[in-house]
Amino acid sequence: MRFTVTQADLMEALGRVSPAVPTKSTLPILSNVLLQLEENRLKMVATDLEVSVVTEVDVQGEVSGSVSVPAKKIGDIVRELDGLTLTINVDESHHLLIDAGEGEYQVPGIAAQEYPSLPEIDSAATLRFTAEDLNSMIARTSFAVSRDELRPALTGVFFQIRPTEVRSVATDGHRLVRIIDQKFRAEGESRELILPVKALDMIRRNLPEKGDVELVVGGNQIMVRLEHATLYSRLIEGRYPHYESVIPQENHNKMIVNVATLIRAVKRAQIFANPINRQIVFHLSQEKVEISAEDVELGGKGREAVDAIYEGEAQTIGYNATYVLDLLKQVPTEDVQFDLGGSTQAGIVRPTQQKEGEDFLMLVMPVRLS
Amino acid sequence: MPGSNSVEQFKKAAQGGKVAPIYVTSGGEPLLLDEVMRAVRDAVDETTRDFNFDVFYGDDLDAGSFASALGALPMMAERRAVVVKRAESIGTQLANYLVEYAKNPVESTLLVLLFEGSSKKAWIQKVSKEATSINCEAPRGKTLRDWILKTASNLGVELEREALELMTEGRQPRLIDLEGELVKASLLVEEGETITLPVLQQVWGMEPDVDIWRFYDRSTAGQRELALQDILLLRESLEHPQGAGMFLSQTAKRLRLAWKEKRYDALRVPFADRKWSGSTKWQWGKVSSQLKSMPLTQAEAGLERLLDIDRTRKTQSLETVAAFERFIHRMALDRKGGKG
Repeated sequence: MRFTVTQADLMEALGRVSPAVPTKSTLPILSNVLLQLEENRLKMVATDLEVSVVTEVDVQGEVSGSVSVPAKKIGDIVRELDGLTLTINVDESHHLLIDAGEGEYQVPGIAAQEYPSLPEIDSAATLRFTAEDLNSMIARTSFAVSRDELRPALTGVFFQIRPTEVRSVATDGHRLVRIIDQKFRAEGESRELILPVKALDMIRRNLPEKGDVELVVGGNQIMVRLEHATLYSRLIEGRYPHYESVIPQENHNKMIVNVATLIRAVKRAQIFANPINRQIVFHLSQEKVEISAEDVELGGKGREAVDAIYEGEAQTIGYNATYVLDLLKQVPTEDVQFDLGGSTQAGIVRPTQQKEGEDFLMLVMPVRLS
Repeated sequence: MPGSNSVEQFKKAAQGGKVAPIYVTSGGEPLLLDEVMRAVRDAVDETTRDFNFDVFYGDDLDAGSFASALGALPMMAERRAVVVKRAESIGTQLANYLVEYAKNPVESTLLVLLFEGSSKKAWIQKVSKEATSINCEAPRGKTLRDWILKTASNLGVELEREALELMTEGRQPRLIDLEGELVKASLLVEEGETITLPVLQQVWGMEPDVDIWRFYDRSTAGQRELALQDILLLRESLEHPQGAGMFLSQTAKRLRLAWKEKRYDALRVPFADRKWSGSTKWQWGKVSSQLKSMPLTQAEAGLERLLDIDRTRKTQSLETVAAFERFIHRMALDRKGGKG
């Protein structure tokens, strides 16, 4: 294999695939990126066997061929060859030799045949999203996904595809996000998918700013054709919990407060929270919400009042500051509305104005007041 | 400590929804710990279980997530549950947090700390004072035999007395292993039939031709070559920890019997076809007293000491000593979980 490529093009392509390379793996070959040259197209593949990314880059090809090389090693050296044109040659021992003018670098490789093959998508159905909607949906849900590998279904975002709407849901058992997009249209049967958060993150990185994105679903795999890459991902198997049963329907206490002001107040209060449980307390009364925190162990405490419109009984509710901040950061409007029950019931958080055709709801569980 | 429960008592309490806020287990029998775990899971409302049931591992615990789980209130349910497996490995910072939590736990949260290893750390003692204990000690003696018979019955088979004896002999078995052996043995007989000793030996991969008593007879009769052959055959059986345990147990019984009958002469101990020296008799006395209480690791050590004396005084043929050394070394490896 032999070709010439600019450092910028090669680096950009490596940047697209390298997030799929696992940081730790029992299979050493997965630390590699696969290079396949056919005439003037260099195809690059990286996978962790769950998520695979394929991209292509234009090169001046001389001899076609393929090899897999350590992603980190080649990424590190190519990054340092800024602005140069690189001539790359692979010898019979699978050594990748980079000729960069004054410098020559040799990266040990492994035969391409040993690299895992890409998944095959069979009996496929196609779903079409606008890039903007998909981006927004992923951004607003993926933060709430669980990291608990004992509950694999919760480690992904749940998509419920209906002919006239799509619902995306994420939860870790302490907070939940549900977005209903009623502008969405799909042909064929309703279907439900749980996409791993890593795949969603990579989709989002490679989304175009405008236009449509196609998701091809077949078996337990999904393929997403993106502007400069194609992504394959295994779908998470298992039953997603019946999330509707935990969304309270009758929270009669309503609070409207400025998002930016509340974020600042919570950030200040959490400095004084117990570093382990991050507990802050909302003291709700008619015209304000007081946010307080106290670290009994170290002795610090803070209290701050924020103007708010509150209709309901005066009450005190404890929250995990991190969870509250995570939710508030997703609110696109100037003000946010909290629909609250009692101090032991889930609180609902929404923007004061929904986007057309959309219902965006977040839920946060209170914590016991210590 | 507020109280102590058997596993069955805890299961009933969990089914009835009348649970204490914190439980700690004592004894690390894996099967009983699993039963506790299942009972905790079942104590949480099924429709919201995904939101209200958290499992953590003490040696891989994120402080923030754990504290959030402990402080959280149940999501559209009466109760939530938090289980910590290998709780003895919880780090100092969270241990201190737990000690404080135990003084004022969340009433709607059922916290269960499952200890697989030692639970003598100070923080565990402090938490245990505020918690209800669940006894997860492996049963012994009649309780163990009853458990085996009940398990066999649940599998639709009966157990021959000799097979039952074989299962309860040796080092303290793990119930989860015994259950596995019973399941395998039950597959070799028809439903309603009896698991006999040969069936059990077949499950354990023991050669029917291998007879421990014959080995002793050959040893004591000075038939070293034949005894050595038996050892080589026995080694196959000793690959199975239970087999090793059984062999050691029978060795101990045999030696204890010899001591009781004061036949600690060359005819009744397997590795001595020579006159006993004063020192060997003294060592033998020590070994025997240890054997009476059946601490098997000490018995091993005692046997090894005897072999050392034999070796230094050259009172035993090197061939037999070497065979015994290999045998004991093998048993020691088996006891460490088959490593090496």
